[in-house]
Amino acid sequence: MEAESLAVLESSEDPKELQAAATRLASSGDSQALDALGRKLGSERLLSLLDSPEAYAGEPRRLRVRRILDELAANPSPRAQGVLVALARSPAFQQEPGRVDLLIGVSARIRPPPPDLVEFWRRHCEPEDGFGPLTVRALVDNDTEASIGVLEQKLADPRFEPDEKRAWLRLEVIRHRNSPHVLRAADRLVRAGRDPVLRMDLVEVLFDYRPAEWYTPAVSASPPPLSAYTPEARALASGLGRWVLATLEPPQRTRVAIEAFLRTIDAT
Amino acid sequence: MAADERIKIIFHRVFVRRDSDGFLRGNGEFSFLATAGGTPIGDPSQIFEAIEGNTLTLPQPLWSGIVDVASRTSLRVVFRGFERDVFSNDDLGAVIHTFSFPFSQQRLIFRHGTPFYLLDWEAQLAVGGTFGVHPPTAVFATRQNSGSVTCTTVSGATFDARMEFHPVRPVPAPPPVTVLPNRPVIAAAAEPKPNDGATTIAAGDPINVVPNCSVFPVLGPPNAAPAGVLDNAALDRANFVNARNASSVEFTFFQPASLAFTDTDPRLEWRVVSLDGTGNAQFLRPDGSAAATTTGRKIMVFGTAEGEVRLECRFQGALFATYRALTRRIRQVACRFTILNGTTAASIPRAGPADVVNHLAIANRLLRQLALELVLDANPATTNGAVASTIPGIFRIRVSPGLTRNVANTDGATIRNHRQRVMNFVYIHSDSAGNLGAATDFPTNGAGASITDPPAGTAGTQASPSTSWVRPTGVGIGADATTGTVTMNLIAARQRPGNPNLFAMFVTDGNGGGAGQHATPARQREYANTIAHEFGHILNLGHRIEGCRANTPSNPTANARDNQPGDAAADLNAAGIFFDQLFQPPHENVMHFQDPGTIAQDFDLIQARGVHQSPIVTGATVLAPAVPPGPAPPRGDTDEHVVVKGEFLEMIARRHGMTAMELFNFDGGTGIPNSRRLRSGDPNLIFVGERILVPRSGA
Repeated sequence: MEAESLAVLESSEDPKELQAAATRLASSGDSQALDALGRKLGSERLLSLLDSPEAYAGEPRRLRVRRILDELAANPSPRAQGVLVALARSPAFQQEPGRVDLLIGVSARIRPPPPDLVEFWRRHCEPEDGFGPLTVRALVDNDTEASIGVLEQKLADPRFEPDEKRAWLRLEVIRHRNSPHVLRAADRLVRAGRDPVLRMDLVEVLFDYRPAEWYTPAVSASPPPLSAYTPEARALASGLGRWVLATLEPPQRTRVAIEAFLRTIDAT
Repeated sequence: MAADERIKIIFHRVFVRRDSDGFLRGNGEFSFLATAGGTPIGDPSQIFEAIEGNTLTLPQPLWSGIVDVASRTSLRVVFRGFERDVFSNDDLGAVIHTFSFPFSQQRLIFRHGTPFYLLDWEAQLAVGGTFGVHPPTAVFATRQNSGSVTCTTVSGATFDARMEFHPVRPVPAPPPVTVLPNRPVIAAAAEPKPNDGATTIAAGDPINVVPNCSVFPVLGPPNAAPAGVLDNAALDRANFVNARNASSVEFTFFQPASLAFTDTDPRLEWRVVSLDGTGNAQFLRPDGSAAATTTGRKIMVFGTAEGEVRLECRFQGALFATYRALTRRIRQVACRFTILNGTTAASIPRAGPADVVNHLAIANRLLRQLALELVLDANPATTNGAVASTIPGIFRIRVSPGLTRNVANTDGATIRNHRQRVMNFVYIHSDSAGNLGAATDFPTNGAGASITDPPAGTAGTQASPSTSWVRPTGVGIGADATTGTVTMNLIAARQRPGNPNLFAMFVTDGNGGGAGQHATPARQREYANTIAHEFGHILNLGHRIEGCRANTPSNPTANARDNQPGDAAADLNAAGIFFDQLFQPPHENVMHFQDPGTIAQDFDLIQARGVHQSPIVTGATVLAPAVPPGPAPPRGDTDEHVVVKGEFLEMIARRHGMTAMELFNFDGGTGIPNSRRLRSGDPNLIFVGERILVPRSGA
């Protein structure tokens, strides 16, 4: 089956046939087949046959290459994840921003992220580059020490506008505010206090959820329930909350929210 | 046609069996006394010379009578004969016949008699104003019933008829698919296809292409139209009523099919009832005239005064269906569109200014249901480096990719090139969440946090079916009785500090679909639906049904689904703060959280009530209804004369060297002659204080 699919990739010029063959290979457990697919996905020939230049003017999620990336990401084989990491190094693959969008999206599932992937994330989160928010989502969803480390660096980066960072916090970080990695990074940023605006934005996102102020009907996010906090996460959140109350002078509304959070944590 | 339950009794002829004149030689002298339901027929003083074996023909129409049986359960016909005698009138006996409800037509002429005469007579039923022999299924009598009308045919058969004019198009599926209340079952095979489908809207369609709206626009009468031929766009925008801009109310279904109602069917008569004492409406008839009544299963209507009205549809006089709507002047909301083009090929939205014009046109056809219109800003002022396109009100700005592609901080985009109090639409390539668009800046609604329909204290509306789809719009009795009160949440303002008059939203390239599709009609509708939906949020409308999160205690299945009664608020988007708390209709409302424009097409009455209290709407330009041109001022050689006591027209005419008829027809160049100025319309009858035109003395 793999040999047949590889032959199709070698000889066919039919986009649908190519997509079907590549998708079969992407779900394969055969290391050699996956390596071969990785080489093909790094070649302009296969990429240009799969999706026309006009297709890249449309939505990336409608590209044929998406299906292949999704299969690779769903494949439990480490070799499959290796293919994705290789694509994160491939100039040919990254020639089209639409493909980069898709690769950022599936990269969140690669744990632990190898250095090449971390570097890929770092490169694709620059001010106003058109990738940053997707990368931030992947970093948060990846939820590893390495990915949250990149996020922490980006949050501390003064080249990003405060409004941009605030949007990351309220749309992405809020969903994982119970993550120990997130809580440790937040703890460092809040206690360091180099950026007072970021500090209070972080405190709000961790303790004072305000959907009516933050969101629009189309764009919203919800925090995890308290039951989803591990003992470690509770300890981290509680420690940071108490430090904020004792050290900073949060606005009354935020103070009340932190106190309520701590009461609930203590009671459960 | 109003109720026409009448029976015509015709006494045709009398055959003389015996003349009864036993004492005197010669022929008898017959007279007759006839009644139908107590109503006299014929002339009892008429004397007929009765010769045995001969036939007396009763002259018509004298010996016919018409009886209204609408309120009767029986009709008694009596025909009694007499023989005039020198000494006394001899009673020749009577023919007596009683019809009982249901009245049915007889194809034969009756022949009844006494020993002295035989009477040929007939009873004809009226259908549609015509007496005669009708098809057996023709409906003679109608009686209002619970949610239906009981019909009696001329054959005496009875059946229940039902007709509905649903305020929601397309019509939601019945339970158990939805939570809507059951409606009477329509027998599939025999019934006409329901007229309940979705509307496919194109930019060039008439502005009234979506039928069964929540708001009828207040417009001037048809005779306020200016002279000359107007193109379609001008007719759509016009402030006088015409066939392209009046609201269309169309039947959804009727049963049984044998009723075969037509679009202009005279059996279905409509009238307007003001529910608040101020709102009013008229009908635009097929001949282009405006009137207080009209007929048919598809009608056109327009407001004549702001308020709230109920349309009543009567089937031969029996209330058959109702339709409730607001009447509002059209509010024109100024808007501008700015396309944010990134500096890379992958960060340029595909939609250009010409596409935007189409999106706006289709969105306006949805918003017409609310009597709202988005109009392009005529002010060319720009900020943020915006460049005007060839279409006034549409601009472009060249920006870094991050401001238009995969944007998280969309506020940074939607403030670009805005003007205070002008609705700001910004086209970007994409947002980071993959949305089609989103409202970002909007003020507080004047109604507050929620709104109720009918409003508290509004007389007469409780019994009217609501367009919020609590009950179908049948007759407001029995099963279709009062809908109760509906309360809908409005969403709170979202205003960034220092910009209280910024009204803004973005639209993404995601509406354009795949490669080469963005300008197709289907994709134009997608853009337009996004604009209408998000603009609804800007006017504080919440989601009619939201997504319930996956893998939550109340939603353990893997996939997100529509929320349902009983779902926890925490399972909804942003804790449900954008959910309007109504579940009906679930999919067909423009404010459904994700349904496409092929189905989500409806704005309902409570939503209309809400948006008209948004400061964006109350502060919008009002399209004043056109006023018919008044009479031209009198020429310089004309005076006005006020009639005083003792004057008559000929007297006044003589003073000006005219005959009475010449003065009667004199118009002084105004186009309105004295014949139309005089109350009586009669040259021989004028009243003190009336003003008439006369030639100026010495002119």
